[in-house]
Amino acid sequence: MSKVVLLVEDDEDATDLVTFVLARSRMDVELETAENGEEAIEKALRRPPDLILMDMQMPVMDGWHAVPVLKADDRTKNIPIIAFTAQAKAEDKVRTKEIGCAEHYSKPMDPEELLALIRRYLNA
Amino acid sequence: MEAEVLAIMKQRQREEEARVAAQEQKRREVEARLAAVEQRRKELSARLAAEDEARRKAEARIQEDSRKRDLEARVVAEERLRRELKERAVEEERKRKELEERVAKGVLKAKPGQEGQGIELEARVAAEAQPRRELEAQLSSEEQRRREEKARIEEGRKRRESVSRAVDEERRRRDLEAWLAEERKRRARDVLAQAPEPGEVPVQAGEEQQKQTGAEQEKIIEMRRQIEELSRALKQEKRAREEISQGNLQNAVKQLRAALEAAWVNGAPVEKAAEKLHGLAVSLSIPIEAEQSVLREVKLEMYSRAVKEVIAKRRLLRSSSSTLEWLRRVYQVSMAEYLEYESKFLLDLVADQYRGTILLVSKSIGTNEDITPRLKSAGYVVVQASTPESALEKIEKVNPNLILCDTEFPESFSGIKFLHFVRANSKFSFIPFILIGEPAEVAQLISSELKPNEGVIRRPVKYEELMAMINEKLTYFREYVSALS
Repeated sequence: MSKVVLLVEDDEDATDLVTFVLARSRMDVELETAENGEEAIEKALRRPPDLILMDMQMPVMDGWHAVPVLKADDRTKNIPIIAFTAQAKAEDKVRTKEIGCAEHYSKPMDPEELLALIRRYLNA
Repeated sequence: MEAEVLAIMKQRQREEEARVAAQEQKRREVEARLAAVEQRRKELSARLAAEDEARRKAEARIQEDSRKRDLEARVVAEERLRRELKERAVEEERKRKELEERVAKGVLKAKPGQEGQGIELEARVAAEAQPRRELEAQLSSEEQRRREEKARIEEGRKRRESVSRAVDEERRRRDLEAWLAEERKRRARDVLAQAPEPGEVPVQAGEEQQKQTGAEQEKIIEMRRQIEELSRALKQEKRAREEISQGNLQNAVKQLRAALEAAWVNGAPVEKAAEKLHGLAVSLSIPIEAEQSVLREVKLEMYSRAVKEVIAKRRLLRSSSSTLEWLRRVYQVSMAEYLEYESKFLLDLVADQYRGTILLVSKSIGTNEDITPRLKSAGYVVVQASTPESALEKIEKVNPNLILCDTEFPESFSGIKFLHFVRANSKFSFIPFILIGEPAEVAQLISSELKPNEGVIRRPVKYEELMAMINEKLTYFREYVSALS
């Protein structure tokens, strides 16, 4: 049974890159995508994923607003969320922990690092 | 007045020198580009030659295999023919006995009315003489053809270089002939032994003997004809099979390649899938060398595609080199393979990205403030010099497109002095020059006279600001050069 990962990202290139990396991971993972927080909440409620990768800066509804909603709902509150931010700011790391994200990962990405992170949360 | 004219003339001279220098610079750039293109062409042709060689080897092997199979088929066919001939001989033996019985009876019958039968027999001998002669002529031409065939077989044998098998085949054929000759002789002896006593119906005996010899020869000719037909059919079949096997192999390789491409698109397949692919190659009877060659081609092609795809997204990647290293493992490309094909993977990318050479003269080289990595990731080749003194040694060799230089050096002359030196030398005065200084110096420098190809930037360096200035100076330089030409 393959695990489901929900990627919430508005940048098409970033989505392509995560797809590219996951496809070459040999992990049995099904990747779902959403372009903003609203779409992410809708998809997560309809089919709860095993892990959410959430970009924090997005149009319509950003990660800062979407994560608390997901964490408030019983159906999704236990799903680990990895927060993506564009810059490695220490305050972002603290803030993402505060709103309930399991991990904070700052772009740009490193394929092996990213895969190790995903693997850790999917196996747990 | 004179001094002014002199000044103008000097100025013109300086400008002229600058123009010449710029043209020289352009020529050198064009030469470098040409050399790069030539180098690439050489690499490509070397690769082509290597691939050709591999393909030729695979083809030679396939041909050798098909020749071997043909030879074996021929041996089997000849064996069958030999068996058939033996069966025929047995049959003939039976017929000969029948004939003998008939002869014995004929002799007995002939005794009462010898005369009438004698005349009749004479007529029959006369009538049969003509076809017999014809048969003999046929036999001799058959003999000739056989000799030619033998020569051809001999030639083919040499060509195939399959000496032992051919010798074996030849020996079998000779055995067969010897056996045939022996059989013929034995039969002739038998016939002679059965000839009637001298004086006793001589005409009839001679006639019977001739008749019998004629029949036997006819049979031998018939056999030879059948042998000919069989070998002709064999040849045709061989040709047809060769055509089919070549066509089959091409299709098989195509099929294998498609399967490999599908399996390798996201990296090396798992062990089970790899075994399955090998099974497919075996079931398609693709020789192992051909299979390995196709596998290697597909692997490198898929890796190359992945490299291009991921490099297109390099702004999102932390490090291009660690990403390429990861891909190398994902596609199980060995270091040796990578190095062999590095140009194939990277040449286009490098060509797209190379933006020029920067001579970086800085005391912070090797420290946290070193901007070399950022310049490199922006597509520049960076040549480092830790002091203006060492920069002076390098500048002519490096022929930079731009110079980036600190203002202060504790153990050497200042960056400003270096700028003055560069300005004074017509060879280098056109090279864009950016000074990196402390805020106070920068204000002072900006207020002093800077030429359009010169700039100054505040420390600590803001990366975006630096890139913008580099771009601006290079653009100015390019426009200046194109205006010259």
